[in-house]
Formats: sequence, structure tokens, C-alpha cells
Amino acid sequence: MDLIIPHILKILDGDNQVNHYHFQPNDLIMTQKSDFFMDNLVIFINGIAEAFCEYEKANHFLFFIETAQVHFLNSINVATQTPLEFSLKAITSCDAIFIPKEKFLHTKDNFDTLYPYLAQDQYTTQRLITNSIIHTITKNLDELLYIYLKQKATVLKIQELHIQRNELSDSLNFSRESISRSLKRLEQQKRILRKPRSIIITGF
Amino acid sequence: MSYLTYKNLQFPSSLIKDIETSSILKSYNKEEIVVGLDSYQNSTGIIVEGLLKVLVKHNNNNLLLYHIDININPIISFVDFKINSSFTFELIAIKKSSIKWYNITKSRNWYHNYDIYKNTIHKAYAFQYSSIFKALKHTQTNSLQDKLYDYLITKSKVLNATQFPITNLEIAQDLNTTNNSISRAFKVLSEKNKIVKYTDTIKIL
Repeated sequence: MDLIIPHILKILDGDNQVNHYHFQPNDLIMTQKSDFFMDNLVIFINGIAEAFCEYEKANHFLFFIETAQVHFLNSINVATQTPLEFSLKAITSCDAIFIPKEKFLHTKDNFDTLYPYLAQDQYTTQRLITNSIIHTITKNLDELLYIYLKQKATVLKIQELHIQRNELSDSLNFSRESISRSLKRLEQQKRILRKPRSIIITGF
Repeated sequence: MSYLTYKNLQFPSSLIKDIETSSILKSYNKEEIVVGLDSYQNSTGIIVEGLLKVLVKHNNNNLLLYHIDININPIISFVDFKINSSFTFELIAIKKSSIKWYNITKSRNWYHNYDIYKNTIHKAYAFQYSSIFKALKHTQTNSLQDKLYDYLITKSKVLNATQFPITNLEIAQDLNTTNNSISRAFKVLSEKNKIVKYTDTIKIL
């Protein structure tokens, strides 16, 4: 799938309408409900990010993505002029290209060339969202928390996560007290090891 | 019959003719599973009669995501044009329904050759996405009686009736809860004069 990057750059070579952006960890790459993301196609070209949606001022974690999985996240929003349903936050340094909708939609050669990638990414994103729904309706806090930690460790390819309780609380929309109790239970089950400023995922 | 049905989609006659000659019509009875979870399929389709519901399923847990009907959302879009893609959802007929199935390769050709088909597919995707996130939001934020009321309103719209037959069991399965919880939520909605529950039917007030 990463073969797409040189392919896209070749298509867009020399185009002054294309904007490259660099994001630091915790920067927002895409923001839910923003009109900007109906007007600009985002091509995620490097890094790892966390997708979440915001409901009534609380965040709901959806999934982690890395560029090996998905590059196009808002092609349908641009094509149908509908607002983005989720936000994307960088968890490592990330790079993205923004293409104005006129360039994306009205240049048929570009659209048709990109089409197989758009379809693939649509399918992958749908799978990720569906898994998130399945977790939401079937898992208790302990399981949700463990899935979150394990997925984060997997995409970052590390066993020890430097993560604060309030970060977990914000991402999973549970109180810090509930998160602390849940972490304690996960440790008793030997699924994690708590350290003062980090969490080690065991059996990883 | 099909030409009239496609009128809602405003397809050109050449495309309609191609769909007619390339598709296979299949009929399904009420409650029949049209597409099972994780089944592999190389075709997609347009509903020409009836009403379908799309569920996400996992073990014994279900959650209703959205409906597919002729007027609002007639395309079965979640196949994603991806050959040999597996279905992430389960598709069930709510009423006797008929679907014209056609090969994904055909769909892909129409997508490239007809802007109207491309736009229809995009709208179907957008509807699907919006519905999935709405369902997710409901699981996160709403009380059961709010979820139930919203479910009944949606059902009333797709069935085009303010009074319709439905069982507590069906609702419990669609909303991923228990019969008893549904009964209690019905009681609250009745006390708020939002619905009237009869033995076999429900009336939205």
C-alpha cells in the first residue's frame, strides 16, 4: 500500500495547489464537523494517529491508524460535501497532503487513478469503525482499556507506554477513578504492569 | 417495473438497460438473512421492493445501524466495490424484499462511466457513515428510552406508518439489550404519552 505515496507525488508533481503539512504529537490533523475537511482531501502520508469522535464534549476513542493501513480518510466527505464524523490526532510526528476539492473531484484522471486506493481505504476505515462499535457494545471498561493499551503499543511497536491516567480518561470517556480501578484489575490479571509514569503491556 | 423503481435514482436509460441485462433478481421473505456476517461476495445490488435492515453482530450482541429502502437509500453500498471483500454487517429483510444483484466489476465500470452512478454511490456511503456514527453516538450518550423512541420513530418513517406490529424481542435484539429493559423503557415512554403500546402493535403519538 505504501507504493501509493510516490505514485501520488508523481500525479501531483509540480502542482502548486497541493499543501504539505507536518504535525507534532497531539496536534489535530483533522477536526470533526469542520467545513475545511469537506473542501480539502487529506492524504495521510506518514506517522501514527488516533481517531476519535466527540459527543457532548466527551471524546470517544475509535481506532489508531498508521500510514501503512490508510491514506485517505475523508474522500466521501469531500465527494458528498458532508461533514467529517470524527477527528484525527497525531500521536507521533505525522505528515499529510491537503488537496483542494476542485483538484480532486474535477480532475478525472487523478480521481480514477486514485480510485482503487480510495475504495480500499473506505473498506479499511469501515472495518476499523465497525470493530470500535463491536467493542463498545460488547466490552466492559477493563476490556476496552486493555484493547486501547494493546492497540497503542502495537502501532507504536513498544511494550512500555508513557501515558497518564487523565489521557486514558479523556480518550475512553471514563473517570480517572474508574480508569485507576480498571488498571489495578488488569494488573491483578497480569495483563499489564503499572509503573509510576508508564504502563507495560505484558505478553506483548 | 424496474424502470419505474429506478426513477428514484434518476439513472439514464442506457445505465438502466445495462443494469437490467447484467443483474439477477432475487427475492427474500420477511426475517430472511440476505447477507450473513463475514460472508464473501462479489456482487452488490439495488433494492427494488421491500425493506432491509443492516446490523452489526458479534456473538450474541446486535446493534441496528440503518435501513435500506427504495426511497431513501436503495443501494447496498457496504460491499465497497472490493472484489472478495467480506461483509462486516448482516443484512436482513424486514418485509418481503427483492434485490437486483450485479457483479462488482460492473459496478466499478458504471462508477467510472456515469457520474450519476458515482454520485449515488457516494451518497450511499455518506448515508451509511452518518448512520453508523449515529448508532455509535446513541450507544454512548442516550438513555434506553431515548434510544427506543428514536428507534421507533425511524421504524415509523421507513414503514410509513404511525402504528405498526413489532415485538419486544425484535427491539431488544436490534438495540442490544434485554426484553425486560425494553418493557421498562416502554412503560416510561407510555407515561410520557409518546407512544401507546397495544398487545401486538405500537402507536407513535
